[in-house]
Amino acid sequence: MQWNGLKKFGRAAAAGLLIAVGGVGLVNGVPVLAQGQTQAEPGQDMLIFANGTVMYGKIVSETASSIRFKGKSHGLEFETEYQKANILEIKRAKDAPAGEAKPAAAPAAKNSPRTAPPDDDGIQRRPYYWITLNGGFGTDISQTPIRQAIKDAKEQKAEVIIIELDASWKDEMGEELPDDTANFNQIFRAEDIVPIIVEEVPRDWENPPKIVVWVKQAMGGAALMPLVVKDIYFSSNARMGGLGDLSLMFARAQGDKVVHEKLMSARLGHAQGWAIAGGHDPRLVDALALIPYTLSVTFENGEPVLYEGMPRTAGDELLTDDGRGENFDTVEQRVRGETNDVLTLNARTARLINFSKGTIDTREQLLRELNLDRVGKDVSNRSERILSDWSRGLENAQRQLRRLLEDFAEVRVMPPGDFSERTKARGQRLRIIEQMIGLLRRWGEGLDPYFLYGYGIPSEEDLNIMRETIKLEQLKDRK
Amino acid sequence: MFTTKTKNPAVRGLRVLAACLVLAVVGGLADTASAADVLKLKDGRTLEGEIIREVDGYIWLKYKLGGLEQETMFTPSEIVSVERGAESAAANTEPVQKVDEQAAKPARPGVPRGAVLTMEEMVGQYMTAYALQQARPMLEEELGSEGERIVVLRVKSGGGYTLEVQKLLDEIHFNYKPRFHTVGWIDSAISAAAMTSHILEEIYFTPQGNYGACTEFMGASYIASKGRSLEERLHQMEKVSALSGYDYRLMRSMQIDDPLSVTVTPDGRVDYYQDEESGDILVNRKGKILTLNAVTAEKIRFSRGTAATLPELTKAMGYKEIDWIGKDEPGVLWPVTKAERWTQQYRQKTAEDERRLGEYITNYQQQVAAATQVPRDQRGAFVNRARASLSRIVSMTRNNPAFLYFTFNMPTREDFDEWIEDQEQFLRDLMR
Repeated sequence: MQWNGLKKFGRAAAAGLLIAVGGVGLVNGVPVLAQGQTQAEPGQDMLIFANGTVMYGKIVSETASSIRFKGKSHGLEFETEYQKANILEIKRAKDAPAGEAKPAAAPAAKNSPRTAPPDDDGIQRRPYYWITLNGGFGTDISQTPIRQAIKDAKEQKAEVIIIELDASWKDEMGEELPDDTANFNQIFRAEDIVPIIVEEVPRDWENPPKIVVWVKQAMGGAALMPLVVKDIYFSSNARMGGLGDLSLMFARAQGDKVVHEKLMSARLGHAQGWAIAGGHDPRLVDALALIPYTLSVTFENGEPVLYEGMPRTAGDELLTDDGRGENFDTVEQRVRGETNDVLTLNARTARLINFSKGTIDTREQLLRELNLDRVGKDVSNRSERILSDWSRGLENAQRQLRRLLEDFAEVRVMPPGDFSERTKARGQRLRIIEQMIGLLRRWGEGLDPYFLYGYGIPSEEDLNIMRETIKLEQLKDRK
Repeated sequence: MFTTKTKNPAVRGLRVLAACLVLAVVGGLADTASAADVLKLKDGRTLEGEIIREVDGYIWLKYKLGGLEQETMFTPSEIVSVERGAESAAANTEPVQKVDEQAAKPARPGVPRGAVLTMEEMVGQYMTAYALQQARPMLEEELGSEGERIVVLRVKSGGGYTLEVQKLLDEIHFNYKPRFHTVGWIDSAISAAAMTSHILEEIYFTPQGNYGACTEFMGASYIASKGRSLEERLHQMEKVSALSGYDYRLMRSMQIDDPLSVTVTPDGRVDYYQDEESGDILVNRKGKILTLNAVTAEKIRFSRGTAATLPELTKAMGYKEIDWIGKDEPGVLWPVTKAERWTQQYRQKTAEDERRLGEYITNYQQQVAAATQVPRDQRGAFVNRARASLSRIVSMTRNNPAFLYFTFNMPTREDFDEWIEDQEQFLRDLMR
């Protein structure tokens, strides 16, 4: 007898710990400093890093590639040098008056006008819809709000949908994870989401819109989202990968190697399929996922051509080596985000192989690139609301679930402890159970398994059993 | 080969429960089963039994014939009238209706009629021969008797029990293919799902489609089949490949780590080689297990084409038009036939029952325990609740008989009925 509930296994495993590719988990090359300050004070410069860190202080000196910066973190003064490549935006004192501080995730989006100029200038405007996806993949970034936003885009008759993707890639302590951490099994969570783009949009739209993904960060399951579209742009500090643990997933598993190969093959087949659906070379998935896989790129008439193996000529470029012997990524490479045992696409490599159509750092730049800056009309008024409502609702649901669980434990039979009081207490518990079931049904898809497990939130089935237990107690009770 | 272990602790609980509870006089369930629903058929027969399911006028009747109990589905066109027994009223979901207008419409001359039927989720539990058997008469009814009739089996499954594969193969080969032009549309066919689909001569992929990874193994131990059992499985798929016209080496590379290369000759012939070098196209490396994607499947002519939508599939199949029967429903890529709706409901109930099985069993246990803890004259309410839980367990096996074997480890319906009868008797005894 054979059993292979692949999808279910994948979902369960996706909830597991992230695996450090090669067994080493290190901090990203970008310094992450503890922040105490939340907004710029008068005369302060502000640095916004691609990883979300915002630093306030004074630019001491500056070269073409680096900035020497003096700042303060949690009361401690420091002076250090940052590479400009890691900085998303520099707000100088005169540009950054007090109180203007903003999150780094979407610096341009907040300041730029969300509505195109009026239509009375005689120009036919092309409606576009902007969806900003940030936060946790599978929690904040989930099928329900995305489906709602796409539905709204359809109602607004959008001709272009722009998805700004900045999925967080952090450990359980909230620390940014490096390139060499991976969670391939998250693709099974992504398979709840990507059919919205691949299947539902073509099905539901008479004239399907052009869908553009602007990648800021797409690691793990989030990497599947750019893979299913053709029009992709990267930000300067973007990265896409986090799938490189497939070769290691069964390395220490019991059983036969041929079964491990089968399980890897099936997973790879899933991911390759989505890349094909997006019009991409499926070998890209092999390079993202498999350590022994070697992929290089050559150029014919200026066009990149992928091939398996090490570079054949000086003009060719290695994308990912076999990770064996001296090719094994060193700790130094890992720390600096320069690994190539598996592929992590960045702005340069993505552009090099024409996976990305260009490197874009601001909303305005992207609109210009898409010819929407002058003739586009932003119709995404509700988008931000839909996404933030979901995230807030999710957060609120988690808070409520924790509180309800505490409330449940604190329900007491009040004096004099008679039948009436016992009945009242059971009634309170039943109401709490009903509320918890309601929350689990409404928000279940986005609730992090870590959260549910960590706080001991019962499943709906367990709550049903608890409900029946209380009802039986009530039936047994006598005045 | 079959393991008696179950992965569901709740089921183990059921077995413990079954062993612990008092087993006494036989009887009980038969009383319920013999509740008098009467079906008058156009062929003159009058059948008396229990209506156990109704969908859009289709009726599943459990009745005895020559002393043997059986379940049969009747289409609306076979039924003259239904008289319902009082006890079955709760099970009745919808009145008997006529076949919908579209299905009754005569076929347009020269235009084939087609239906999409989904085969999804775990093989043996959701993707079953039973589901295909139940859907078949509905498809016959809906597709009519005139002209070409096409059934597209849309497959999306990560595999499951190989024990079910032969049943599925037989149902498709002996019952679907002779009646319908049966084709596969592969979204994902992994393991047992690919082995099942391999009986179809005509296969199309979705762009994201995948197919393969058929290595047989035992549960979570990841131990591959070896020796005779492996040879039997390889031989089984060699026969299937021969029936459907595929080179046996293709499936072999999906089952074991044999290499495979292929040459497609200019005249369209496909030559297979069980090595990496001889063919022009390297399909599988030595030591790897093959899963095809849409690109490779089409390149080596295994897939007849790649289609994301029904119009694309129509075109890939070489038709200008096909009358796809069924109703357009939001969220579904193709018109939904009655057969497909039944199949979806079957899977939905299976999923709910699978998820809630532990709840059914735990509740039954605590209801029985509560009944035993109170004086006899107060037991009624507890016993009634226990009966409701027991009926949920019965209901899940009626919707999907696969639970009998794969979940309750009871090889036949009779074994299960006997167990239920024992429980019923036990509950009756509690009331005495």
